[in-house]
Amino acid sequence: MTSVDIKEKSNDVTTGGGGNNNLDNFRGGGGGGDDSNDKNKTQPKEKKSSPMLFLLFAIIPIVMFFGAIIFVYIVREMGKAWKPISMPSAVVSSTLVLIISSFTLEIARSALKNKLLEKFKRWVMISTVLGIAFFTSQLVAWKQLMAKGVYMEATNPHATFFYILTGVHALHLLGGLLGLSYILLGAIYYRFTAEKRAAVDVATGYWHFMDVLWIVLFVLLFVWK
Amino acid sequence: MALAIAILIWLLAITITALFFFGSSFPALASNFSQIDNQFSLTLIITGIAFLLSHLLLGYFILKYQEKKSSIAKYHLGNLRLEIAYASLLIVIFITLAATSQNIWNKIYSSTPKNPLEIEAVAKQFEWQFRYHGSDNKFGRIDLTQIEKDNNPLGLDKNDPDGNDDILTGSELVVPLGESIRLYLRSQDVIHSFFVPNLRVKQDVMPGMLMKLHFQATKIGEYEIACAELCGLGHYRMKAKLKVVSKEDFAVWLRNNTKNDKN
Amino acid sequence: MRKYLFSQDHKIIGLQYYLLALLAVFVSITFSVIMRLRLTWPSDVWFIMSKLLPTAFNQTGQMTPEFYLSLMTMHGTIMVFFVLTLAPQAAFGNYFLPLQIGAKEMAYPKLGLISFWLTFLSFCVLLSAFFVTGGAPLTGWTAYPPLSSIVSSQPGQARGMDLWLVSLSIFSLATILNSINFLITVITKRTTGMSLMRLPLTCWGWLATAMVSLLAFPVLLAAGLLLLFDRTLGTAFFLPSGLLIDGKVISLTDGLPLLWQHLFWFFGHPEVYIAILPAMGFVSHFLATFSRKPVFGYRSMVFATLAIALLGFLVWGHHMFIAGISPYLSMTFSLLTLTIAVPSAIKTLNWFGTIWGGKIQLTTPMLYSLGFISLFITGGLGGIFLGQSSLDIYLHDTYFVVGHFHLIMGSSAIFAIFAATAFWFPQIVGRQMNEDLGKVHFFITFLGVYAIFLPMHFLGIAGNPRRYAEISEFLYLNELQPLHKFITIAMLVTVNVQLLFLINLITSIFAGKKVKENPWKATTLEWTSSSPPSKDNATTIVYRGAYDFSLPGANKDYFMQTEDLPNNSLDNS
Repeated sequence: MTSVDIKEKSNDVTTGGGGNNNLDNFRGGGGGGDDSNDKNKTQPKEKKSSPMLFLLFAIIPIVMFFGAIIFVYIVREMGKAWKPISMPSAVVSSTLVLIISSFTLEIARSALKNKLLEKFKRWVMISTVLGIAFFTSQLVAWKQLMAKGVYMEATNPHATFFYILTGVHALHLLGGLLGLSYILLGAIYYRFTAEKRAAVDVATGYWHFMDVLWIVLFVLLFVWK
Repeated sequence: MALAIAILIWLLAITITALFFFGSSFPALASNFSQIDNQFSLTLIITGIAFLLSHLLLGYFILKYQEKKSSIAKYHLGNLRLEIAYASLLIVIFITLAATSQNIWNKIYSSTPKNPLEIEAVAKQFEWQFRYHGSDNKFGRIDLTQIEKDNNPLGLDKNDPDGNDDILTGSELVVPLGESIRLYLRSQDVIHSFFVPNLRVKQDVMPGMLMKLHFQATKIGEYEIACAELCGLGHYRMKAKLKVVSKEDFAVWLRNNTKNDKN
Repeated sequence: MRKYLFSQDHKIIGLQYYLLALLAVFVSITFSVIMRLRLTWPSDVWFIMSKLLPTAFNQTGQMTPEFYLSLMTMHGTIMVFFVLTLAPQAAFGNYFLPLQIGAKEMAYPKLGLISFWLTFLSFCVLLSAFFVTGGAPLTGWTAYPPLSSIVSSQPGQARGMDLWLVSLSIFSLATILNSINFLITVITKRTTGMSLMRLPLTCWGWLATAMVSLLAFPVLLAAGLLLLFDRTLGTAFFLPSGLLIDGKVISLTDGLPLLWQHLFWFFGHPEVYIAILPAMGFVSHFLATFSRKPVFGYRSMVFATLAIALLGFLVWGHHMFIAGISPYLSMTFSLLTLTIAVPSAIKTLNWFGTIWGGKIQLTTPMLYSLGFISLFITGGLGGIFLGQSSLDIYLHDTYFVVGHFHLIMGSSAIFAIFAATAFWFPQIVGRQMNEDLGKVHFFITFLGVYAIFLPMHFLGIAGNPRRYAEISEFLYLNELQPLHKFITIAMLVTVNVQLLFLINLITSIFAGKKVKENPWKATTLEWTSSSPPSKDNATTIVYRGAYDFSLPGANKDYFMQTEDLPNNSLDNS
């Protein structure tokens, strides 16, 4: 639905663009295909705003936000005070859990598409549990680091970035978890209106984005040099 | 109404142009950076013409095309050719300006004169302090923990022999006429900016970094050094004195100060 | 209560934003009046003020320099964020964007509501900085660390600075939400027939600004959070080692103060265009309407708008020419900075093209628009000096910069806001603002603005650094005292004349001349709604571009976008 909507718009650009003030407009609009239909209608058609578009425009600022912090990270990594910290083992399990949760969520979504409601409910529940497991695992990672005496302090920029990046990511993921809980509630009470289905798409999309973002952060923090 | 506005705009344009060309000037130049002044004049001529022409035209249009006079407006949708020609002209002018200007910038920032006289300027809230390396041509190491307000304001490391003959002049910078100067700029606390209007130099002093600045003073006299980057409540009174003296006077001054230091 | 205070109606939200901006501009101008007085007559005792604000005065009865700097910081912050970002975009945009594209409402009405109240909250948080120990921050709106990152570096750098950062974080969040709403509204809510190339240029301005905000404000948010961590959690992103502050040696890590400048100006320079892009849209719109001519070069106007929005992200380094950047960066930024003048100059050419051969009606909105052109040219030409890296060595951080940005970003945008207020007032209220009062206000303000900000260029050329609480300490600055005095007097006159605008605004609501619908004979959709508009917007089909004025052979000199084929000779051609 979204894609259709967007296509229609881009069409407008080319067809309606016969020139804003062009004399062509005089003889029936910009000469575009959809313009010729205009005359037959007396009322403009109602347009629905698109949830996927909202997701896209929510992702852009989040990318910019993390991009700014990553920029600082890369510059600071070249500095003298940089002492790499060893990776807390729990980070690996959180990464795996998050990746798996993306797949389970995808299974849930396709189940909904095929109207297998019970299956959908089950897999959304599994995904939510995995999401919570990710949080727990991240907390364990923090605990592991703290047990080694690695704290968020000025003399250890790498550790500082680890705490801040995981913290801010978790904060964003919390939004995704809320989304999952929302569709889970919907699933439990068997409400599958079109609106709800759109919500499933948005929540899944956001979850995948958070997943990819975490992989980027993981690579940045512990793999890439 | 239209006439009033047109005249207002015309008068304004002529007054402003006149003021810029005849009523404003840089402080007297005392360094080798006369190119900045020339570049400024060049830019002033170009922008002055643009300013005057556009405002004369604006007034003229308002007068000529006022409602009462013109019966019907032209139906005109634009002229892409005109726009492209105009943009091309501007691009040529701007690239020329940017290139000549960058040339000067590079000369100021990338020049490395041979055997310059090295002086260190230390900025802190809210004063400038200057240090000469003395006869050994080496600055002594700095240890901030050793700073004592009256005896050791810069925190010279007492264990470093290089620092023994360093000359501290407080907030007075003395330079010989015509000689290349290399100024090392250092900040003890926040960002400051070393600004001498007469020299046409300005350099931010970033804490944690050692900045370098090269210049030659070309006119004997006393000038004022200001801070140009907000550094706190005393920003407006963070001043120092620049003395440009002849080479002979400088040698005498240096000798006198060296003696004093040893006492 | 629910109907007005927490309404989801975009028109109410737009008005709320306008009132907030009006409040903010009042507060901010008051600050600048006190600043100018302090700067011009530093040693005079102000009896009443010193009784009102005992903490801001020292024993000798003089206002402290730190209070001056706090006022300066707040003046800048409020003007940039709560006036220039809010009024053109959030206020007029929320009100007129849906009306102009024929939408019943914004895409997400609730989001508009949330954005406004977040913005309001951030304004309250900002002002509360005055009432905490140490007072408001004194770093200027750019908040360069280490001055801003160390609590003990100066008075006002304690909780005041934290509150400043929190306020701007909330503001960023609100602006991001608002921008998402704007973008989706333009993309999905346009009425049938309203193709992108039929959008009024005002909508293009709002659209481009929303794009810029969406990309720029997250960076401010990130930078602000990192700075807040530096201050409260003991990190050192922007704090270098080897500092001696307040008698204590700080030897931490190799944090980089320059990084803040990069992040801040990556946001900060686009912020300038956030203020001016909608203003450009307004002026293009009004010039066409009151010249009874189509916009000259509509397509290149759209292109120039987008080019400015894009290039705005590539020029931030020109704020750092003397901060120790490499020659390559310096060259790149200098070139790009002068390049961004090209689309701006094309816009100027097209404004001239629009009034050329027109039938100019000198109404107040038109006067303000013409004033905008003049101020924009003057301010823009000042930018040609500052964009050149070599001249920036001398002019950087002098009054030349202050004069420049007050002309191009401040005064120009404010003139566009004046124009927009006068232009759309009949649509909002159903009455017209008083034209005579408006004209008097225009003349004095236009001259006043020049009298205030043009001499600042001369101060800069004479080498007067900005952000000085007084100029008495330097001999070469003492000579400039008469010029400073002139500026202050011009400023006092101009500020007082703004009361005319305020009086005009308020009295016209109740006693303005009643007008028919579409009093300016404009073409765009907002005039098809009744005025004042009812709660539900009228939505209609669009048949033509936004500026069909003076079509040859037509029986009237304008056609609204909703008008179908006219019966005239052209139909056969």
